[in-house]
Amino acid sequence: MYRKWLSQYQLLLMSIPFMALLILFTYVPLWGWIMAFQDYSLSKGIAGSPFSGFSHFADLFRDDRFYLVLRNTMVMSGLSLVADFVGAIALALLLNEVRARFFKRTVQTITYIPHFVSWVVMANIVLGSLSPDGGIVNDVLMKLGFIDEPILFMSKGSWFWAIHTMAGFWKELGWSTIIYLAVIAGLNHDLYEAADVDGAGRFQKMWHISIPGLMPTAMLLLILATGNLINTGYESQFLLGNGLNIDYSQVLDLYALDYSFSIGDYSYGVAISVFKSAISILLVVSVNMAARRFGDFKAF
Amino acid sequence: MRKPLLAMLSVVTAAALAISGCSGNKNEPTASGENGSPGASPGASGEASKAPDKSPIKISINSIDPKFSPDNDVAQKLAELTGVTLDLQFVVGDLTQKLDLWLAGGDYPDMVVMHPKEVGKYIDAGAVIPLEDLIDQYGPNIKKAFGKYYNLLKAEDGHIYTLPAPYLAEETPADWEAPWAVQYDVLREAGYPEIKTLDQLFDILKAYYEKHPTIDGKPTIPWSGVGGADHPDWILNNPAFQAAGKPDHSWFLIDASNNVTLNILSDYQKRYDKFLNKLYLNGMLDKEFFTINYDEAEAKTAQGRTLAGSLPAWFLKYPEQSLRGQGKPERQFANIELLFDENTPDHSNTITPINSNNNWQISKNAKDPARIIQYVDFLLTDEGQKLINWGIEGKHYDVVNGKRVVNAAWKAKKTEDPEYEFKSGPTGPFYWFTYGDGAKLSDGDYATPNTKDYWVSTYDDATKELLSKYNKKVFSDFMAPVERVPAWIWQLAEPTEGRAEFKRVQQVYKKESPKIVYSKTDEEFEANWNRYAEEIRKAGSAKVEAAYDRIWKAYIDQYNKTMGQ
Repeated sequence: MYRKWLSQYQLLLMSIPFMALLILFTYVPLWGWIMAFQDYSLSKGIAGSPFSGFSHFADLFRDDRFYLVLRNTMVMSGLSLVADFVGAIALALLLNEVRARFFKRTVQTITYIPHFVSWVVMANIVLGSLSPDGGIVNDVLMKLGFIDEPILFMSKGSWFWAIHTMAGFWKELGWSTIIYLAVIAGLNHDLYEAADVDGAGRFQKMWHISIPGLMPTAMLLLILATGNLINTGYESQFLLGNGLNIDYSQVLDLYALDYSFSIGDYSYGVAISVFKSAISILLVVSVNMAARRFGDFKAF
Repeated sequence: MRKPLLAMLSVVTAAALAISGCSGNKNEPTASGENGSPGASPGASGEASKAPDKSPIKISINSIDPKFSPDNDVAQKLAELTGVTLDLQFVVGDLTQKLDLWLAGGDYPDMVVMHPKEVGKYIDAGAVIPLEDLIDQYGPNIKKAFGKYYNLLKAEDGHIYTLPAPYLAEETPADWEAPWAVQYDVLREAGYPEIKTLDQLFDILKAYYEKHPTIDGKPTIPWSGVGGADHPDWILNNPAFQAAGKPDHSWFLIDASNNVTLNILSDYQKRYDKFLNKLYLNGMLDKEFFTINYDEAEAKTAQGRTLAGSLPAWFLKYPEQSLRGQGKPERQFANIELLFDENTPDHSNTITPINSNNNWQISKNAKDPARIIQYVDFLLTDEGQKLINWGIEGKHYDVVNGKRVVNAAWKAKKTEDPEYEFKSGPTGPFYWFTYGDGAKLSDGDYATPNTKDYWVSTYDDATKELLSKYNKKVFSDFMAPVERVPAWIWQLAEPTEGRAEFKRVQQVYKKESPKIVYSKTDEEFEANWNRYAEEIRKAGSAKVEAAYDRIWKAYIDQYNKTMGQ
């Protein structure tokens, strides 16, 4: 063992700075988790603040609002994940069948450009289109005679999840497709030719060659995405949400912002963050186990 | 091609000015003393320690406005007169979080500017230094400016940690306007009636709306507001206490015996919700009233089809500018005073003894706090006031018949390019220490250019015509006479207990209020209101009220003691 290390000492030396960075930026900050078990006050610092045990976690689990925002977080990221996963694979398969290069490129560009537009702009476009006062969606529906009165889209709480999922789908679809297209392009062409010889049609080739070829990448991406289910940020919800749909639009990060950072109660925010990390690990491990059992694939 | 050259030239001139300014000071240390800063009489006083040190020094300070320029004309003049250059540190993002971060890391600037509600944690951590001894030694003009209110600066432990601004105005500042906006054309068509109450306005709006269901081909919006999506208190809470004629204590009402209660549980709020409900049932409430964000509201108001609403003057600045640009001056807004009931005494227009908002604190990182106090002391002299409010004589203002008036060329440039004021004019962090609009200097003339005459000179014909019909000179004349209150409650240090409950209360408020306003019948309105009140109580309103009641009473005790001294 030591001999092996010794023979690779150049490699080991080269990896030291990166290990140091990893430890410095991912493990050292974990020290701050101690704040979750203290009544942290800025003026006293971590060293001087009194310990309070699990009281912040108790507060968190006692708050009805917490379960509501947890539900919203999981549902919204779940919906986005499924929409994105299915949509991106479908679009990649469809684009792969397109013969006209120019058309393919155009579609690809149009679908991935929204990824580079910030949520602030996207949210204003969505809000503007759905506005009851001259928004294009309401105008079209009224002109076609489906409705007599404009619909107040953003004030219907239960519609928020659908609106949010669609907005996210529009923004991220093209970007997620790129990786799948690359995988398909890298598949062995002999397989397609052999299938041609055997008389397979387009759909059969898709079903028997492209999809199985995509699966390992897809599973890996799915597992990685699962780890972030609870960690999806809050920009979109913050910008699209309002008082009328707050019961459906508030997510964990917004809750943490409202009840911790904006009022200076940092211990509570750290407790939420510890909880989030625990859930993330749990999710990744369980999806990995499921993938190993059902799909003969694992990430680690 | 000319622009870069010009820019370079001005840089060179600026540099030359700065250099000559500094060297001038070194050669003749008494030069600026003659301009009448009353504290220092150099030459005569033999005390070397008291002669102001004017060697160049850089002092770091966090900038509360990203547009502030560190070296505009006035900043350079100040550097010349005091030696102090402010090194502005621009904060990106939320200031509260940045302040917390600085405090945790200990690397705050020499001077930290913050709202009084944040100061407590800085004092607890010993991050800001006590100033009373320094003021005794170097700040005669600071003491003079605060006068009998000087002791109000003291914290509970008797030290002064924070420098608010004096508020020497005895009249309503000329640019203050009542919070209710009504379109000029609505008033014109109704024959310029005296409107005192919300209900009177409702009838006028209804008549106009029936006659003009659309404006420029788009549906008319009889009542709108700003803040729906992110600041529901702007469209509900603030109008409610304003219509009741109460002073602005943000979320709170304070009765005669100084008991603090939440306004959003009061009958005023209920009455205002009822008014909005009436607008809603008549189809006169903006459909996006509760969902519109600030940008959308600005764009919509600039279309000229909003008839009235709770639209404060500071919000209307850009929409009105745009309306004038579109050639629709009759669609601008008159801000008038309205009440629920015309017999209610109107106490909504108030000022405080000191202006406490973006207060200055000197951190323990400051190497030379005495120089900072001297700098602030200079700002509070008549000469300093002229400089930070009016600017430089001959450039930003002229003296005509013994009165200061804004220089015409400068005004034209400012109107043309709103950013120009930051680049050249008397605008910067130092502006914090203004005596206040409507205050006067020892020469009997106004301390700031923000006077009635100035505003009249900015009005267009439509505005002048409207005001003449009402026999007013400026819009501030619509407001009730100004009264001095000991403080506004939002100026005090925020209590730490009950802060989570307060947040909960606000969120219930945000969520339930629209349901009340959108009630279809009176019974439904009652039921919705009762459920709302119940939920707010459940969210912990009693704890919030108790916490604020305590800090307010403590402040009043201190105030009475101070003023009794």
